[in-house]
Amino acid sequence: MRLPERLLWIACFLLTSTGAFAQASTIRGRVTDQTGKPLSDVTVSLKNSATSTVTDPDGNFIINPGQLKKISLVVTIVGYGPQEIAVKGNEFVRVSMQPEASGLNEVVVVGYGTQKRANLTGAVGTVKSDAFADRSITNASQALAGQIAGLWVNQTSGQPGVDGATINIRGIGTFGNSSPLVLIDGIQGSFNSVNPNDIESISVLKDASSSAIYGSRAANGVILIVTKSGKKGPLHVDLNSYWGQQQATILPKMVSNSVQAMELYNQAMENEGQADHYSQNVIDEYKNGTDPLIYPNNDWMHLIIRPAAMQEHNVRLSGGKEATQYSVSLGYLDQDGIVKNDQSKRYSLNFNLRSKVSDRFDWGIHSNLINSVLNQSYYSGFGYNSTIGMLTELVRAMPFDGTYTADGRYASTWVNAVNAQFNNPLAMVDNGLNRTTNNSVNGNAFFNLELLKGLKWNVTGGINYLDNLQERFIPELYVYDPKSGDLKNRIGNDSRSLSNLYSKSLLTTFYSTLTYNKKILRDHEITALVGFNREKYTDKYMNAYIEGFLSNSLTELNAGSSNKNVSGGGTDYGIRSVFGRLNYAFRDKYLLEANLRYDGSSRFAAANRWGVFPSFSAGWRIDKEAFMQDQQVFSNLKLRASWGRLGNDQIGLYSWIPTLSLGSDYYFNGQPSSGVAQTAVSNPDITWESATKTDVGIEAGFLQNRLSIEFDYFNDLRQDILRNINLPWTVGDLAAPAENLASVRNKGWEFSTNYTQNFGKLRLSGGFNVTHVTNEVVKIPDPQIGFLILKEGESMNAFYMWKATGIFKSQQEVDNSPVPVGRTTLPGDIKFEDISGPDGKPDGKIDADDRQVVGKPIPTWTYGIHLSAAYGGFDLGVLMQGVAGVQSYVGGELYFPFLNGAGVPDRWEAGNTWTPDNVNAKLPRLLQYSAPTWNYENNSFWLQDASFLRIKNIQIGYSLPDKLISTLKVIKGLRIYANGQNLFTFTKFEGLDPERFPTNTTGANQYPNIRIITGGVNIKF
Amino acid sequence: MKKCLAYSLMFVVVIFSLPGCKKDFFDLYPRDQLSPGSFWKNADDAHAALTGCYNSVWNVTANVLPYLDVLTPNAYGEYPWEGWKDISKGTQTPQGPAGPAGVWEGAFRGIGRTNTFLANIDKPEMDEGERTRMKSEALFLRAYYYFTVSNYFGGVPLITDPPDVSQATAPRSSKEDITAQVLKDLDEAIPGLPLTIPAEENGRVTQGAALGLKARVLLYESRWDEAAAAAKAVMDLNVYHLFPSYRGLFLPQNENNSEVIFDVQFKQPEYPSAWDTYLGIYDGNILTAAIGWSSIEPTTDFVDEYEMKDGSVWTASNPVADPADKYNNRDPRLDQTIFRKGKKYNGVPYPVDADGFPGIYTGFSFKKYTVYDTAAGPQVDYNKSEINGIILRYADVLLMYAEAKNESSGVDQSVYDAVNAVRERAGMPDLPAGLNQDQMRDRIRHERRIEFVIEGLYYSDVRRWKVAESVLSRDVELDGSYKRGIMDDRSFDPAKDYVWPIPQREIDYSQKAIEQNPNY
Repeated sequence: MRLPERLLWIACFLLTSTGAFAQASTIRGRVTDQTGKPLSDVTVSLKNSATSTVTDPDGNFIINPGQLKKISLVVTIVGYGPQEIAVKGNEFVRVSMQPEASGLNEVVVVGYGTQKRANLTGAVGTVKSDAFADRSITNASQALAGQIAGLWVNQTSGQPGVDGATINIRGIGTFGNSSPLVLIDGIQGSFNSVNPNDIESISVLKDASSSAIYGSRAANGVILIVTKSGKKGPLHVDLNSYWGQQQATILPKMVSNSVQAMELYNQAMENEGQADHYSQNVIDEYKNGTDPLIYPNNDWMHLIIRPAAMQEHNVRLSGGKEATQYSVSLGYLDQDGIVKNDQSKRYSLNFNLRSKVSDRFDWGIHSNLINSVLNQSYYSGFGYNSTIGMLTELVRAMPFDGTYTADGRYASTWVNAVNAQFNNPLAMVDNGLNRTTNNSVNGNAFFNLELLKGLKWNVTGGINYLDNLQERFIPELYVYDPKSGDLKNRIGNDSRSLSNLYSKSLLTTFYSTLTYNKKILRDHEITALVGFNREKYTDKYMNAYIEGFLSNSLTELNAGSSNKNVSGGGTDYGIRSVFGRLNYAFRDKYLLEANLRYDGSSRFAAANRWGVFPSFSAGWRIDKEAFMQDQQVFSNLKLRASWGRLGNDQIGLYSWIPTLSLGSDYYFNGQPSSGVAQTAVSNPDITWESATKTDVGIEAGFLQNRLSIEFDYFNDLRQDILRNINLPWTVGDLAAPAENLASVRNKGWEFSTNYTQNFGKLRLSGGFNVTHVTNEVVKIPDPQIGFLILKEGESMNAFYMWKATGIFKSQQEVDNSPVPVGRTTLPGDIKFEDISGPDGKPDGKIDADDRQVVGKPIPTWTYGIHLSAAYGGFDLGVLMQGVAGVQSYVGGELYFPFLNGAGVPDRWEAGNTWTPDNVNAKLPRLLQYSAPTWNYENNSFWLQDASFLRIKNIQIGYSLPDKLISTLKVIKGLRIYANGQNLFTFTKFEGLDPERFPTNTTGANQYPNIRIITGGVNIKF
Repeated sequence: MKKCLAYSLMFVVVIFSLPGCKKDFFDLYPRDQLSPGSFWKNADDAHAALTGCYNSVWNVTANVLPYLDVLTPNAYGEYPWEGWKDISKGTQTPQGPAGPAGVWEGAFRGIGRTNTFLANIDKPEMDEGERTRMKSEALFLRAYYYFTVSNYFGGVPLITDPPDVSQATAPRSSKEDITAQVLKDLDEAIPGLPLTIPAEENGRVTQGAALGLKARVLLYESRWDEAAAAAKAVMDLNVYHLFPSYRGLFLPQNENNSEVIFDVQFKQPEYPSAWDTYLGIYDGNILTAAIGWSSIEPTTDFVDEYEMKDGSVWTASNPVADPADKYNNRDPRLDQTIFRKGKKYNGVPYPVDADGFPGIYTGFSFKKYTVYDTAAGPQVDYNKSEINGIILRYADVLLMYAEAKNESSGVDQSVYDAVNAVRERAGMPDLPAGLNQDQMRDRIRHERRIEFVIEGLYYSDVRRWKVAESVLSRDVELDGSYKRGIMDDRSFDPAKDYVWPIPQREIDYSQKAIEQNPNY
């Protein structure tokens, strides 16, 4: 392989270098990546000389060879294999770098510092911006899907502005918030606080060694986001725009033929032994009706959910001189929701500056400013994802419910609907106001000062500020009988009113570190870091409510007049810590690292406030050993192991403080009297959850690291998990106290591999990662029973319900089987397994004692695949993501027929359900939800396998060739691309998108995930 | 070297002058809650805590009292999702419906708060008389909550200490033990309670309320002598009188009148009920500003129960009967309680047209406990109802007395007087003389059913009379535009339905220390 490659490059040089004779004795050249894109910051040095330079943002360099006779350039940059090029004469040197699969020389951002990947002793996964560049990623959390082993990235909603993914690292180890700690440029923040286009890299700290320096908050893992900074060179302008179309990946299907819906309901009533609800007269009239407004067959799902447009534009200016570099970017995202009139806009500003005042002193700032506005249906309440309540109304609407009357008013129906109150979804999306305006500032200022040779002092101060205004105006809307024109009902139950909820929060962070680095006797390198950290959080909210509006048109507080109501409050939280790290390397071969953090948090009582979090790790770079020098197989081989203890303090802020709540008022003679009551039990003894994490990993590289593999075994034991225990109402109906209750183990392995290979002009690379996690509750004093159970030996929050064993085919089978008590069971009903009774033995009846664990909501397997290919100016990238070994339970309107007057899912169409003539039907006999049956009690019949493999992204691009570009003068690069997100999904899961919260039991309120097709252009000036 | 020293000094200064190094850095407490350590100091604290005890009355009344009648042939509820209908069909399970679970939860919320109050009320510095009164109020409330929950569920865990996690596994005590505790609390409360209260204290517990509740508890236990004595004690207080107008008794403008002994003081928007919506009719042409749900409707079975205005029973041949409309010339309470065809509802004929009243299922609607009447008037939005919910009123005391007295010693003049007082206020003639004990029993039971419809009493009455299996399994007839005929499928299994199933959650969360009622 190597020889033809070299020949190819030489051929390239010969072809492109004609006419580039320069007069001076300097050597000029340009460095590009494998696709021809210029690479900046590439180190170009002269072999056997101390002279070196770096390329500018356009990839150009100039180097003076001095008096050297035989000139050889060594070109290196992180992430690419080094190149050595012999230079003859004054030719213009063109260097095309080849990516290294392993990124061994890459500098990885770790807690309070950076480290070369080769020297890491912990498990750190990274994603660099080019892995998600030009994709329609609207929230930074989405960028991680499929990219890193050990991560379960679950994006459950396609609602604009509310489409962040939940991320779990190596299983789930806690009952509450299991999200990792996110830091943006070193300051705690959230994925919402940064524009994904401003991100340079994301580091995921997975084991104790890498994350122990974050102590009490690191048990769920740590994610470090670094935003783009400026590079030395002239002003560089990077413009990126795309436009696209979104649509639902899958929409629930309801019966949308009115006559069919009525007949199915009558059938359900008949099966229940009741008279028809819809008379034959009504059905016949409907059949013969011609006016589509009076006799509609409305598919409400598609009346409200339809394709929607989006566009995003980002421009970045960056550059700098020797001393000062800057980067400033502006971003604009405009995304309509697939739900009518849902819409989100985001404006962002990222500004990074670094200035080196002297050899010993530099300072800088990082800042991310975001303004976002989200509009959604007023109907179902405040909050970021309140539209979901309106979505439930979509499946509650019947096909015979009309859209508009002939004279343009909102319609209801003349048919005797089961649920007489019709909330017309069109009215809900076209009226009122539900606007969330969000401003966030996440940034910091820092300086570094070299106190002594090798001793650096860093001081960083940062803030994370959020302010948020939610405005909700509930209009007064009515629906009318499309036949008679009579008023039927008002939409919703709330009075015409306006609520304005304003909240703001501020997290201030201050930390300072001292780092000492020294090489002793050439072979021993020591790096020591000590630091201090202090964070203080405070928030405040106010809510104003008013009624008495004259119309639906004015939506400010001053336009209202009556029933004013205000509320408000605030909370505080503080954490203070000291920490340290010691790295020792012997000849870059034997690596040792120790971390220690000592944390105090206001979330716990003084006696339990402080925690110590140590970690130790070691690495052995076997390929550096003498005995490995002659072998040709491994270009890299490293063994590493780590052990450590981390904490998690994610529990209510004041769980340890006994309090009395105000607001339990009473109105003697109509006059208010303030009431005070205990509403929760506190527990002063609570303290950190502690996670003991062990990790053993091996990394190997082959073929000059074009092929790399990484394998990790991990064993994470979470102890003293904080959870609000289950308390019966008999204890004063109090909110239960948190306790350090249980232990959970996440044990497993992860494997990832990457490979790159060029075949002439065809450049290929691919990668695969897979993770296997076994989640088990290893200790819990009493099983915490519910729909989701916590029980020793089972997966956390396992589904606990009756186990369905089929459908009764005959009365004889019913008579000979245990059946549920208190309800009638007939042929066509679901059959359940009798496993226990009061004495622990099967007792011939189905009751609460027969519930059992039937599935689990945490996937055993998560995996990702990425492939890329490039040929000439064309490039193609494919990303896949999958999970397996996970179940999800969906009931509610989307799975059960006619739930509380709702519509009927089309799976209940005739032929699919049990009848005496169709005893092998897939579904039980058709009964409305409120029928006295056990079929709709939580049972495994409705539990589904939620495994899926998803083509998360496909991108095709074309870059104009350099030759053409160079004639355009102004433009330095131009790429056009097309992108498809969530294009295909392979799953057995029915009716809904499988990428969902597995424990969300009501599918109707799930905002659909979206498929996005975009086209865009990226221009560099 | 100097520079180094300067730098080092800077370092030291920055590190140690950091803001937040103060000792109180971690002293962060909720800013909108009180600390128990600084509470229970004075009378204001005691009042606030007692108010918190009253607050829970809402939980066992607002979404409960009117719905209890849909469990009986008095009323029909179309919508199963409102949390009650399953009970009328006998298909309730430990998993549902939601209504009973709300009663259990609400009662134990009140019990927890009163227990906390009683454990701390001796701490504040305050007037002793006031302390005694407040202690007595709390005892009454605890009795009321325990009585309520045990009335529907049977024996429950008996907890009299402030809430503590260790109570999670408290098993059920017997119904007898609960009743004994209820009576003990009431007896302890009675002497410390005022006979009358100034208007601004309306809603607070009086001696009459405690005596009246005691009468009800004893009546439910068929302890006739004692029940009669307790009811008589209320009568002898001479504080309470029947309000002259039956209809007016349930209108907001007459709240806290002399007949009301104890009620829940709804107040919109802070402490509202939604009774106008539950009872109001579902038709945009009748109620425009706000539309009722027709959730609770009178049945033909119930409307037929009204006597003719002369006290006779309706038959087609009864000379008092109006051949044009069998519901004319009836007990005046009929048209004060019920909207029916041929009458007006809020200024509009009821119903608007034969096929145009989508939400009316039985052919009748309730007027009682709504602001709606024949003439058009103001309309009430959902969750904006203010009419106080009456828990105990003097008419009930009179009929309890009559019943207890009749059961214990047979018919006498005092029994007649009590029943006739209620009938006279309604505009009905006295009961005929010479009734024997059984006849009187039937008359009293009839009177209770008519007088207290949708006040939540009939469901308990038929259970304590042990006639539930015949009364509650009676199918009801619907006469709406969409549903006509015998549509309902009611069932009452005496082996299980005399008490409700305990919410499964309570059994799971108590690690099975709480046992389920039989046959659930």
